[in-house]
Amino acid sequence: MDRYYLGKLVDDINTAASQLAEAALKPHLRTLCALDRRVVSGERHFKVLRYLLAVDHACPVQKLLRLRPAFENLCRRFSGPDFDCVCHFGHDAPVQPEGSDLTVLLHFYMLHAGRDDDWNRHLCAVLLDDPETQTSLLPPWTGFGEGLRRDQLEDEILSFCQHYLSGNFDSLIPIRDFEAAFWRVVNLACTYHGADDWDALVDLLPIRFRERLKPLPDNWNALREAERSFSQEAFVQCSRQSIRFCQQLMELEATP
Amino acid sequence: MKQVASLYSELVESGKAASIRRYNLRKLCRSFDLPPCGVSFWELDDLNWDYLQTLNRSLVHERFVFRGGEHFPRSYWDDRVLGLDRRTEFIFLLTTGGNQHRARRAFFAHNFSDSERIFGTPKSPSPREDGDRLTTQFHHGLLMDLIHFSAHRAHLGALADFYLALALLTLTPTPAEMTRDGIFDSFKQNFPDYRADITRIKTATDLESKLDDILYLMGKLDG
Repeated sequence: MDRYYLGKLVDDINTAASQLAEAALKPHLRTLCALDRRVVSGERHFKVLRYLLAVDHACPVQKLLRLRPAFENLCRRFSGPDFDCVCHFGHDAPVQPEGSDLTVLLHFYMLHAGRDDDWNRHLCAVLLDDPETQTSLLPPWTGFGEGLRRDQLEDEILSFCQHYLSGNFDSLIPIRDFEAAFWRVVNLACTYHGADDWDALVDLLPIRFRERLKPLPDNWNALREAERSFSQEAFVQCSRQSIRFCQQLMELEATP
Repeated sequence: MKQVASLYSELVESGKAASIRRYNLRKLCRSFDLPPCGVSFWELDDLNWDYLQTLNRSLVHERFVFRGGEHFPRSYWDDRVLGLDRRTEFIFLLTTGGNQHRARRAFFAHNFSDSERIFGTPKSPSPREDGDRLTTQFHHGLLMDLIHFSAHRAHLGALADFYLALALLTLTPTPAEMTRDGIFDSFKQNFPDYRADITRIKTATDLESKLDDILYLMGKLDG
């Protein structure tokens, strides 16, 4: 699928998803942000769309319970012979594409409606991969980027390393899970250290590591692109560098 | 069968992990008719790739499945719903003397100290505070998981009780009995204003009104 049609498809899914959420949760939906409006050509076979939603405390459970079947219907409607659409609630766990050209994952996360608290700040910081454009979509009460603590970043780094400790990387599912955990660390670290993007973040690290760490996102992309000829060696290389990056992040002092 | 305790002793004695603090949630799990589960905090001397790789290879166990602590309790219930009655061990990593995972460490040290087992000599003492931040996390975990598990109605009541029990534990002194009823009763004694809410939740016959009551109560406690 070329970039133009993928872009249109993403817009269509976003529109359909927000209409559906609005209708299903009326009048309790406080906010729904679709975080991905860009098209990354490097993700031809695999695309993740993230949604942040918040409901008020009076939202009856009956409406919540109907949400998943409704979104599964929506995913079925969008899926075709060469295209899968799948939804997940509250976690990054991806699924294996079943021989189709493109898999789009819809990931939904729940914000704490109307509150400026740790929960919202942390959730937004780990999910926003493009704070410059995506922050404008967030409601102001999420307090994005303010008051993140050092230990929140360290928790995320250690959780990422834990993935590697207990993981069994014999297929693409756990590897994508591992990569998603890596991006949570990157997103949170960018926000904590006030870096605009990956390059700016790596520039904060000691100069001797930069050259080797800079291509890391490209290496992860390449690994994902080559999914049908998966190479264990390339994965080991990627994970080794990612863990080295985490080591360096743990050493990095907060920017003033 | 090799016990998790002997696996942990070996890891610490061989110097692979600096120390491990483990909490056994068996009693709580049994009161929900769930297989045993444990939560452990591992102090590591280093975070390098070779070190983690060695640890990864030594984690083989035929009866326990090891999971990241941040997946507690969802992945445990995922297994339950799929009918995989396996034992789960949730792992949190810390750097030696580090300050990570404060809220969870405080929560388990406070409530499950009876079952605590320490392998080696931890350099980070268990923190004492931070229970309140977890109340929010458990409330949101339940909201997400009700949606995630909505196709499995038969499990929703117990799942919600499990989350509610965890949320109540963030607020009460350690109950005498670490079971569903023990936690609910202890909460009623310590917070008499909520007696009626707990009684209604315990005796509810209609699933959806029970879940509404639980979400309402958790929202109030978290507010």
